[in-house]
Amino acid sequence: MSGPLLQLSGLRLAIEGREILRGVSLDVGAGEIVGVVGESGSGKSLTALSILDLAPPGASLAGSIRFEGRELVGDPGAARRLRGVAIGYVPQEPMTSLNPTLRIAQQLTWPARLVGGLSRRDAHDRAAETLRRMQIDDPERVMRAYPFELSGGQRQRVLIAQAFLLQPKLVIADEPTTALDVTVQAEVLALLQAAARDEGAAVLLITHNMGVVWRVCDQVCVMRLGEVVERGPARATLAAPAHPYTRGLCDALPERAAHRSRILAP
Amino acid sequence: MSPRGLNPTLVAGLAILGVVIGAALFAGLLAPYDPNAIAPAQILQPPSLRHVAGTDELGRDMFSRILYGARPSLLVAVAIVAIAATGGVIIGCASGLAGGLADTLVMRLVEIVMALPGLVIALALAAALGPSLVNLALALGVLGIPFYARVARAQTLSLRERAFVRAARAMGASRWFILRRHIVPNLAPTIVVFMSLGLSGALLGASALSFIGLGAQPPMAEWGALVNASRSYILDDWWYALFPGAAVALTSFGFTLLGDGLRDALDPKAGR
Amino acid sequence: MTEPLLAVEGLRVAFVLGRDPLGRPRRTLQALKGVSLSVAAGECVGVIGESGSGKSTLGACIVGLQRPDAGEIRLNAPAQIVFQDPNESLDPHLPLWETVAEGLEIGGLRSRQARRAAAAEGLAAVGLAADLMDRRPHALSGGQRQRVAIARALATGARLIVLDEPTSALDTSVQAQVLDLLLGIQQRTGVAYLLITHDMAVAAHMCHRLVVMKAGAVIETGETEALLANPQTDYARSLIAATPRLGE
Repeated sequence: MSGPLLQLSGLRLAIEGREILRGVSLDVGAGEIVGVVGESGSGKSLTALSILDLAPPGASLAGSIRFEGRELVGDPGAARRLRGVAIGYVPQEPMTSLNPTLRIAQQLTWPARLVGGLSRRDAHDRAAETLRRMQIDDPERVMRAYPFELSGGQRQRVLIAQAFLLQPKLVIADEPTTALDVTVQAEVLALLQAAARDEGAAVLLITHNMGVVWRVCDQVCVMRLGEVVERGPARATLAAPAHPYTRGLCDALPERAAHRSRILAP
Repeated sequence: MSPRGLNPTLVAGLAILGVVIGAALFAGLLAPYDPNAIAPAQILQPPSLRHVAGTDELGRDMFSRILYGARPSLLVAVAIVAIAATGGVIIGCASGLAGGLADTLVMRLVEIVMALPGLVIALALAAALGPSLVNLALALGVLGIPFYARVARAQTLSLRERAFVRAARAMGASRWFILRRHIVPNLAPTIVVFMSLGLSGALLGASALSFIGLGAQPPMAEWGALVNASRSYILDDWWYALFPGAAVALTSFGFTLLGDGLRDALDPKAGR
Repeated sequence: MTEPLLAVEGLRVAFVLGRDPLGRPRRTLQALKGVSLSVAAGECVGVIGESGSGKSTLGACIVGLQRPDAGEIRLNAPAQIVFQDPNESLDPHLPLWETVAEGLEIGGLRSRQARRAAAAEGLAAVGLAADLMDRRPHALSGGQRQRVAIARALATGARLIVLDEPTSALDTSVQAQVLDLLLGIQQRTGVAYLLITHDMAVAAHMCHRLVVMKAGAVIETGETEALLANPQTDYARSLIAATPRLGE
């Protein structure tokens, strides 16, 4: 197959007449990790949700989203068929994204059986195997557990396992580590990177943290007020930003602030 | 109130209640007859141009009696809700702020009162104190306290952990200051909504007790008492029960609309 | 040596997690297990730790929101606190001037005029226009709300401000503005900060000294540069390594 795995061009989204996305274009190549960075209100999360056809009701979409060359805009059935199978999704909130009344096993195997068409036995084995790859030492115990019995890091691993369960070609991760402690965040990021590499899946990583992009992404796409202001290879772009907004964002980082006012010890 | 507050539900509720309150205030001007004037020649007349809502068994004009009846009916409903909400908010806030054993004891007591069958107790109280509108208001008011106490306590418990209350405590604010400055103003919208919804229940409750003869006493033209008086004639003289009953229903509907409208209007998350 | 602004010694706090039917504690969580630290006037000390480290409990103890079970807190000047969540830190019903001057009112300043004047001054000190004074919090952005919370703490005459994750909920560019504001205020007034954060980069930028906490205990302290360059414990090392930063 030629061309990128996922290609957005001129994507526009309006909610009740208000333009939220104003012509977003970005490419995700097979096996690539692409970071979408921006501050709140930049439209980065809505970009992700639009790809999955999960934009809020009343939103009108224009432009083009091509997945493996297939147009998704105007064909909600297509996005729905890809969801969970060819495109996995990792939500932001590990605390609220799992149903508190169901055991992990049910939450992992049910979609595998429903959309993946696996048998009960196969779904169970696949889930256990995926959890093990997510460095969960005792998958059988975790699968018997209810969400409240797991730590935030464990829950996020379960959610990542859920996204990778049916060997998708693309995983969309919306701020997957924002709610986690830094040490857990580092582990989860490494995991995401390894899973992408081992499975050959591409990852679209939505984040506000430029350090995260630097650490794990191949490409970066900087968004501001519904537009992409700059995109390119992650480290090269962040090391020498061409757009003043990107430069401003980088300079706003505390670690870049050394040249700004810094008082000496009294 | 800001323009965002004027939603259609609220406007409809205010319109209905405006009419009812207008009737209560200006009954003296609007009523075509003296509500207590007996006319032996006019007993149990169906609605006509002379008596738009008919007459009762003593020939009194029902339209005039309903207009005059709005006063005691509304006053009792307001008194019941005022007693219940005031008592409930004081008990609930105090209990929530005090915490510990005092809170536990007060809340168990409140639960006991809640478990009592309301109308039966009100009936017993009204019977013991003697049938009168004041005793009825007292009885139903006290029975309404637990409901408001629980709402107020739950809100107090969540408010006192909010960062702005913690900041005030860090600045040395007393419990009284926190209650006055932060708890009550943030509690007020919720309580106001429950009060206007509660007015509808209070009106119906008071009418029910008057209907069984424990509220307003003859010849007072209270709505529940009017329906009560119509009992013996309900099969032959339909208008006698219908119009006072409709007045109760309409007013109760007005309070419910007001409550729903206020809930939307006072929601800080709605609109701008 | 002069007495520091704040000296904490052997602070212990336990939370009761469950009680038996007679009200006796069944399970307790030791949130602070004998914590000691000090802050000098004009200093910024960072308390670094992850969730469950007890860092926020420590802050609550210092400003009197949490009673310690044991240990000592010696405060030689008034202390105030600024919390993390800009949506929670201001009373939605109060105009901003009342929030900023709340400490003065609690302190007994009855004159409305004097309080309004103090609020106008306080808002100016955090870079907000005085004509915002009669607005309510919903009219403000997250960064502006945190400025108001800082003004409220300063207006009481606090010489030490406990900053409990003051910028964690803010966008990067807004965070930079608020951090710069805090540094500027410190330069101007010599107020001391105890900065509670999980963000190594923020701590490195702001603090003279760092205190690393884990599971209710201080496991490492030191001058910021020295500690970052040469951490003594594995935990501090892993915290530093885990923090994603540009160019590393």
